[in-house]
Amino acid sequence: MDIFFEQYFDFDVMRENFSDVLDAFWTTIQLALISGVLALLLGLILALLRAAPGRRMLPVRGLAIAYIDLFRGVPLLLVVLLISGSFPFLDFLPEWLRAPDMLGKPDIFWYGVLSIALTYGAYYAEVYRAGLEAVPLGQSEAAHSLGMSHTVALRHVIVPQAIRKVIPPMLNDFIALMKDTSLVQVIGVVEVVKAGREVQAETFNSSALTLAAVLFVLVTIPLARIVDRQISRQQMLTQRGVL
Amino acid sequence: MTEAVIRLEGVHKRFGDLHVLRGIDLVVPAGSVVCVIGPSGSGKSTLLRCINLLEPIDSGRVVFEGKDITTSSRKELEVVRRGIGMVFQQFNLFPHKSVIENVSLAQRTVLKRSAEEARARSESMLERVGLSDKLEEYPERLSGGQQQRVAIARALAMDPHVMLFDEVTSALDPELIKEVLDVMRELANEGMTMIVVTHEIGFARDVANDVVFMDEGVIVEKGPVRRVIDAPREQRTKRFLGLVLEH
Amino acid sequence: MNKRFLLFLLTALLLLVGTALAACGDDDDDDGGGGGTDTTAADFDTLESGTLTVGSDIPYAPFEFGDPPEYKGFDVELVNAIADNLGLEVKFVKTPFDVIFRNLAQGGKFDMVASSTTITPEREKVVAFSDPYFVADQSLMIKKGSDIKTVDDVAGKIVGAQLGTTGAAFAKDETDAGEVRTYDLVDDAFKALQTGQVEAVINDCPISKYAERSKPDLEVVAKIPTGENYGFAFEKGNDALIEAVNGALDEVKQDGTYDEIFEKWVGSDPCESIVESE
Repeated sequence: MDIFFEQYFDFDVMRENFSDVLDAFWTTIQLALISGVLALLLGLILALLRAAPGRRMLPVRGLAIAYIDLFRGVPLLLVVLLISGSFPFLDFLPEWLRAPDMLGKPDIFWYGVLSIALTYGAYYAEVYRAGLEAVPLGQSEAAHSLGMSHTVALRHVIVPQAIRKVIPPMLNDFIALMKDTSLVQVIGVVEVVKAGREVQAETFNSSALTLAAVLFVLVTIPLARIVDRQISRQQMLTQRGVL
Repeated sequence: MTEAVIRLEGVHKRFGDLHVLRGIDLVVPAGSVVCVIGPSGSGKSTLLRCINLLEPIDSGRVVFEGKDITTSSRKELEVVRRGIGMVFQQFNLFPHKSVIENVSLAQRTVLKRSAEEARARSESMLERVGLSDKLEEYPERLSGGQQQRVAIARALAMDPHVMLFDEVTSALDPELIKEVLDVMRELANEGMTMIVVTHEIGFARDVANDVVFMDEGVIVEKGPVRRVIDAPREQRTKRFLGLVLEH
Repeated sequence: MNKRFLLFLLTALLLLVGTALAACGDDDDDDGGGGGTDTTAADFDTLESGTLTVGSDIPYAPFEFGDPPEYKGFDVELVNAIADNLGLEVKFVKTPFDVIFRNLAQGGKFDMVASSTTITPEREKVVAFSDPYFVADQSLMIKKGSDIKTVDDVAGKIVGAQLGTTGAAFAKDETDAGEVRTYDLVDDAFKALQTGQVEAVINDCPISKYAERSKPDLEVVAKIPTGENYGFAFEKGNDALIEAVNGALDEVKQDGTYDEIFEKWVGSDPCESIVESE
């Protein structure tokens, strides 16, 4: 049992490496925020494409469904490895896209962002879909009977209501996304888990990993509480017939 | 005056195996109020929803103001629907918008009226239905009767040529029904062409010009209100009215 | 239907329990009188009597790689020869390099680590080493066409290395590299070099030289004579086993087996011809 405490709760190791681990945690946060926003946008676009009405739009719907199935079905780690491994060889992509170097962040950071956004975009698309389907049919009937086009009805009536419904599952998925950022370490990005492992490799002590866990929990627990509150607020509003 | 606003010719509608409308012929002259009555499952609501093509029909024709709209494209339908107002049993107000926003939204996005113009029109419509004091409220805070009146104002704000009412009082508590019927009564008096699917036989008797009795997807009997309600010819009509007027 | 499902559950449960029991049986930490049935004169203990359990980060060609149960490589064959000498079977346990010392230090996972592991003072604080059995240097590897020729040239550039290795430590502490990127597998570092994500890789010379064979676009341009020695690592205090292994290693060197293995896997010193850097 002593070994356990020595290995995981060595406060000296934690103290000495605190700033390195913290810097890496900042990378984790940046990864999560940037990918998260992109995934939210991509998810909405996918969900709307998937729901495009009319026979002419059948190929569009098909493509959207194929994309969603693909990225929900392949592990994020694989996506990370495939993208970072293949991009340098995709000649048809312009240089700035093949090996991006923006905002002072190296290409591997952006490969990570892309992988996470593409994958979580698919998850978010399904969440949006559930939200869109949960909006009562009467809403779109009323909108259409007033002469609103599909797009106008979506924009002003359906999507605003759908978004309100999906906030809890969205937040939940965001917490998952934030944890999944740790996967990009395999292509060399030093996010917080990798930083912990590097300290571990150099000091033969695992306490930096504990530190990483603590930092995560400091962010994810409040987020989880917010989700819980949103859920109960939603339930209350649904019961009152608002949502 | 007698030019038909709506004409249905040989309309059939199926939902899967269910043959819900079996050859409907109906003419609705301008300025008239037509009440559609009948038991549940007779196809009354479907009939109404086929008029503005919320439900596409399988065969037959729907003619609005002389124009065959049966196979109109989605774009064409959007224009057509500006002239047809609809009020639903479940109100279907937009819960995330205030009362005045509900009434203004389509005016601004569909009719492209300016914000001020739409607001002015909305205020006027809401005054007409007696809800001037509720402009900034949200639907959840209103009673069913109030919500339905807002729904009527919302449809009227588009300046439609005909109004469709789909059992608009069926979901209301009894004491709230009157306020809605009163608004509809006034509307009829002002000369609005109305097609009203309803259970309120009393209202039909008072307000309608013509009554249509439907059962099992067909129009069993139709004609001037006095005749159909007071002196129905068909057995089925008699039985239905007997059942309904009983209570 | 119900009955069959029940039968299935029961079978699964039995299998599970059976496996667990079997595993428990093997889990002799401290084999009190454990070494009882072996016939060698030395009295050392191993986790499993009659078997030398060896932790290794596989693959790391040409020292340890291939598929179980017949792994290949310099370390693998040397370990086999030593174990033979001691009358032991060998069992390899694949372990990532960044936790291999920690696992050894905590005890109970393996008797010894054979993983091209350099003897360093930091590591000697937590584990004990056998006599050295191989001299290796670090090397600087680049993609052909790069203008990096010496270690000084990596100043400000991105250098790749394997997590937890002396190469990584060297890159971080002894060079002016702009960024040192560590990878779980050294092969990932090589791949990153190929795609241009890193501009150089600092890694043990024999390994990098060996990799040139399968990655002709990469080239070792400089040897970094750190004079590192590989040793086998043990839990501190396991003196009896260390002594036995040292003895066996000696004999294996004496009787020519070592030279055979060296010739087969390393050949003439592949790094001999590389220009020394610094």
